[in-house]
Amino acid sequence: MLFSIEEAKARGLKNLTEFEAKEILKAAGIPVVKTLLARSKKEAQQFAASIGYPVAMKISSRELLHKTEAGGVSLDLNGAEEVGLAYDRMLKNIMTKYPCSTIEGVTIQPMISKGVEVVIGVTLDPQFGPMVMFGLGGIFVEILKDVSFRIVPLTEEDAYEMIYDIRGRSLLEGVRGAEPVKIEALAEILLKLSRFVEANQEIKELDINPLLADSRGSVAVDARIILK
Amino acid sequence: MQPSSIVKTIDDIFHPSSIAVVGASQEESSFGHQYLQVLVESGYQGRLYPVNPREKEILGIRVYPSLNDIPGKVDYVICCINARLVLDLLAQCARKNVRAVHLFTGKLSETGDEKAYHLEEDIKKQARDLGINLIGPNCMGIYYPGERISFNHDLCMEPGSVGAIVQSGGLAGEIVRLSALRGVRFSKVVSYGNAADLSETDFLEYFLWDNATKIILMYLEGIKNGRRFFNVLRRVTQTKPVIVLKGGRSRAGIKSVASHTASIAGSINTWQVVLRQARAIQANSLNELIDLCVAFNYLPPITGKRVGVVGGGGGKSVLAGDEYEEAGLEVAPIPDEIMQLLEKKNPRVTRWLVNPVDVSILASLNIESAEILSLMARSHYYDLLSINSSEDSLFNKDEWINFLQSNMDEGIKIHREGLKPVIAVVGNPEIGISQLENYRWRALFRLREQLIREGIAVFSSSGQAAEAIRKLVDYYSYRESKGGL
Repeated sequence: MLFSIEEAKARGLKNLTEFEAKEILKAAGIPVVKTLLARSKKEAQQFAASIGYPVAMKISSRELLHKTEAGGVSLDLNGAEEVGLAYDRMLKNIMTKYPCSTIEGVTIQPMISKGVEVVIGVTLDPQFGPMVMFGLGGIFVEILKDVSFRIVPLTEEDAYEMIYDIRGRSLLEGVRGAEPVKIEALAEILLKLSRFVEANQEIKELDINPLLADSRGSVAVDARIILK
Repeated sequence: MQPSSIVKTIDDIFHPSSIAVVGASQEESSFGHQYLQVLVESGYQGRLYPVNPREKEILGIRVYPSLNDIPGKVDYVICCINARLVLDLLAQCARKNVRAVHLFTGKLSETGDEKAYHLEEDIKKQARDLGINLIGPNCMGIYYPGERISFNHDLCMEPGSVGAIVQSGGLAGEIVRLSALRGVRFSKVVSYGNAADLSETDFLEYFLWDNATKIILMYLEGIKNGRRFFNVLRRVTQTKPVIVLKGGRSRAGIKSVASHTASIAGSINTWQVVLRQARAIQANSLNELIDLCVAFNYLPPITGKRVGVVGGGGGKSVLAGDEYEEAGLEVAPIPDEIMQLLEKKNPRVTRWLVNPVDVSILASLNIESAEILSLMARSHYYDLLSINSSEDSLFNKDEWINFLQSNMDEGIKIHREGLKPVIAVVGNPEIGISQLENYRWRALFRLREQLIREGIAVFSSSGQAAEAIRKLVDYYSYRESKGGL
């Protein structure tokens, strides 16, 4: 059984872990990269082998909202030994820096490097309610704030328009010989997210960052959900 | 789809067979007196009942001590009394079976005072319990030339097709007056203030069903229910253009948030998102609101962007071209078939003549600007023509006036024949009374007046015209793409 909003509500959870957020998005029909939650070093190594190297490994903890800054992310791990070393290092890191945080384990997922990094999110406007955001990842969203917003519910037209609204849209259309990104897949994700948010009024904030988009489709690589 | 009950409620408010002005007084500077006087001056045909226990007669009209003393039925009450007396008045209204009250009365929630806020909440609750609809508090109420109801002195009583929903009281009259200078007439206007009961969204829904209203203007500061506003707005714009000026656009403090999306959302203006997504036409200033109102009032649903610009000499015509292009319109080159016709008159034409057509060079080419305008009007290469007044002047007085006039006359002719949409740009310098002695400004004012009488959209500059027209073209192109034109 996938983790659900109902379960989060029943347990009084507000900050969902990446693993929980991904399960919820998967249930909403949004493509999510395969992610396994390992509760021990041995399990981490087993899962990494089953997923296939290289893998990414991240700390799973409800209290840690910014995993990278906390030293809770290890990328591009090749082989069981690297996974083991990274596991020890990350756990030590977190326990030194954030001794009070509860660590549920680590998530293991395949390294995906191909595609354009996209950010999709949801936020609540005090007057107009939930809004969906679309933008390109990295500096585009953080420094240039090259994003577009739409009020939920989105029409199909809204979804396409908000994609084409961003200044960096040519990156999606393929530059320097890159194949164009499958826009339909992005639009579909935006629409699914809009429907999901409409049906789940408990969502306060939601980030899919990054979502990797290429010519075949898009897949959520990291996600976060905060409930009201 | 059927209109909701609110539409009928508001329609009744606009058609009262009798109005009581509560708080009317002999004191000419009092608002109660002014409301009564404005209704008399405007020629309101229904029965008027001033109410005041301390007066006998105002402006020759009998005054009643209370609502209850009025012999006939009262449809609509304009309340100009102190806020603390309003609850009692509502009780009287209920006994008299009054269904709608306009609260001019202010000093309520808008003051930020907690007691006043609670009093407004009590008024709202009492009105709801008694089944009375409120406009306001803290507003001017309704202006409806059709029933000769007004809230300001000297507002034009000729009805038109623009409906306005204005939160502010002062701006409501200002918008009507400024638009009237450009020849725009209104179907109905409401200033609704704090929106304790009837809100901007209710009036928006009403205007959707009001056949006389073809264009809707809104001035908004705050709204009570963003979701409903968005949904209604999105529906209305499918059939009627809604031009919105949002006051208070600067962003309030950003709350602390954890996610990326939420922190970025704090730096954007949600109103822009809402208005764009709902296909409303966004104005960024009062001047732009009026310009857009003029464009939508006079122009047909243009969906092409190619504009032929004739008039203006030298730099003025170069700048006009820049302004149109920068606004997103196309100053399309003069097509070969027109050039060939003109070359027969003067072979030098091809090298010299371009769009925008510089009238200062035409004299030496022995070509009249009217001739070019006429050809452009008959060409499918242009979607719209802009005739610009030239203030270029090596001429003497009469020559200059004739020159100015002849440039415009062809435009007027094209407009009358309906060959092509025409707009005019007539410079509107900020002048004082003393400069009216100057024949130059007088001639421009006369010209402006003549064009407005002809039903032509007149703008003060090419830049203003260009922005307004681009927004109009965008709106109608969208409607066309949805098959809704």
